[in-house]
Amino acid sequence: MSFENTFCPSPWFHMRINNSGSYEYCRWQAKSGSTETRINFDHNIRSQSPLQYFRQVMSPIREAMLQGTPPSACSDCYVMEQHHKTSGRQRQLLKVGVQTSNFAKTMLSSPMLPDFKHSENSQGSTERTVSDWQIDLGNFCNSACVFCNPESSSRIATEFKRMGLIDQVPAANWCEDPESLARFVSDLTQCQSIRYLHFIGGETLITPGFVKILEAVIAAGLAQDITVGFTTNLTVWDDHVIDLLTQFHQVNLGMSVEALDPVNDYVRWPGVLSTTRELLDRWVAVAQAHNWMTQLRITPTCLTIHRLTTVYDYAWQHNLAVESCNFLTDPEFLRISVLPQSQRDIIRDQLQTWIDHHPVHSGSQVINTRDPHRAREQIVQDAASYVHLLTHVEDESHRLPDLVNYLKRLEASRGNSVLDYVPEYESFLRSAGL
Amino acid sequence: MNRFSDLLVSKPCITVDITVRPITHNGAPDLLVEVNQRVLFSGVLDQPATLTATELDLPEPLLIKLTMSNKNYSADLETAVVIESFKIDDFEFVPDHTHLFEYDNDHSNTQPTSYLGFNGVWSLSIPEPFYRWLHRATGQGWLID
Repeated sequence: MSFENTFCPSPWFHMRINNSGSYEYCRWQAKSGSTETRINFDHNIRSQSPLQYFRQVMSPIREAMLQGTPPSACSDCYVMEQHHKTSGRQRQLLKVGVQTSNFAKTMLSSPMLPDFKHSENSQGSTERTVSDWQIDLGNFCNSACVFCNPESSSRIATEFKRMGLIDQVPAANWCEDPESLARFVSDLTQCQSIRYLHFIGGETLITPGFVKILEAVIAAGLAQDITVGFTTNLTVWDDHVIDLLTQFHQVNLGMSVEALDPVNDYVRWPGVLSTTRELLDRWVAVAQAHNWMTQLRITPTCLTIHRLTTVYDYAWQHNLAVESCNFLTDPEFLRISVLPQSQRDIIRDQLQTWIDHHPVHSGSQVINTRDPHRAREQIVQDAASYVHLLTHVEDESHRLPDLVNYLKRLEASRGNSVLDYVPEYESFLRSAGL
Repeated sequence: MNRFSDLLVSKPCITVDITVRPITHNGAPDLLVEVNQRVLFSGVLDQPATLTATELDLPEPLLIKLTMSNKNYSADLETAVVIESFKIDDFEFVPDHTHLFEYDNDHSNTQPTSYLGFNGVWSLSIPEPFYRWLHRATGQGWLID
């Protein structure tokens, strides 16, 4: 691929601390394998300062970017662009004024051009500090979504251990360790260049570290210049957090939902659709009252893609963006491509019909997916990316037995049945051993 | 382009295209059109014209001025210059982005417009590289610098 199709500026202003307290260079970076742990003892809040990681350890990544040879973990973004879905790379480019549709001219006009040149001449080093943080608060969560894993949900960790799927639950979250949290907050509040803090869990609203970091940033007098982003699973409400959030420059609110249909309860177990809907309405009202940017965050899988239009309908009605981080790849048996071709064709046609009934002004690709003025365009763009995926994705229906095997084990623990939620899947699920 | 160094050796330029149409009921207007002190047109505008400035350095600031002068005001008959199109690198400013222009005229009328009905200067000042400025001016979101 050419330089303009691979280059990403993210390593010049962004990094991530994951649930284990390990550092990663990007919120969108892919794991190289489904069993790979994200624990890295060398590059961890307990052993190294974030700034040291950003400036020194990430130098080879910046150098590789400039050489046109990005790390393999960047592959998710390239796949998204292949299916006309706005990628993390495109979003990070836009934050430095670069548009993929006019790469050379916008790149040469970027305010970050001198920083790229500096790194070009110094093996990828930079004098910059982190402006855009992804902060994974840990796996403390009251949900056990079927696509989730023990590193991201304490509830599913407990369940997996009981089921014998794992030997031990993950180590304690980094932000439960007062020393680690204090170190992180100290580094964070000394950094004057912060523009964005994005938090995910677990469930952010029940994780004590979330409030502690927000309070520390407010106490340091930095809140008025910082945008906070976070995602909630629509099971809890916290007025104190809302009070804290109103002290920040801006808030990007993400609300996780897979379908406004009972299948949401099965996938986001043990959700209750009426509660999900009630809290969704409440959050949307609060967001509107405070002019927050709002998104519905989806993780479409083979179990929910056929009900995705229920989310689009709600979003269309309320002028909200709908977005997933990427196309789900892990666990492999929950990929959309696991559905039989005939089922994928039905869903593709259903999504295309939805698009045809929701005409929008067709302008340039929406890169700033939080722009409320283009929310409806963004919804249609998202739907079109799934039509493209369903049309072109390589068939993986050979994974159906793995899916059935997994669901049977989960259902034995949970006492539910997927067929109560997706009866139209009965034929091919039975054929695969359900 | 395979690597960053390839980008740096490229020297892309930008182009300004302006299409103007006179209203001549009370005589044709005098018009001066300048792009960074390069004169694209100077004289009596008695028919529509498309004026182009090419090879403008991408990173350099831009100052584009259209000056109408010597209009004799009349209650019944009009003299004016209508900006039909104003493009920088194919980005069209008329009619959606006329608020980005400054209109300094002898009637102190500062309403965004592409209709120059007064003696005065209609100008666009871009103090930084065009695409960086455009990002801010059209509300594309953050610009980390």
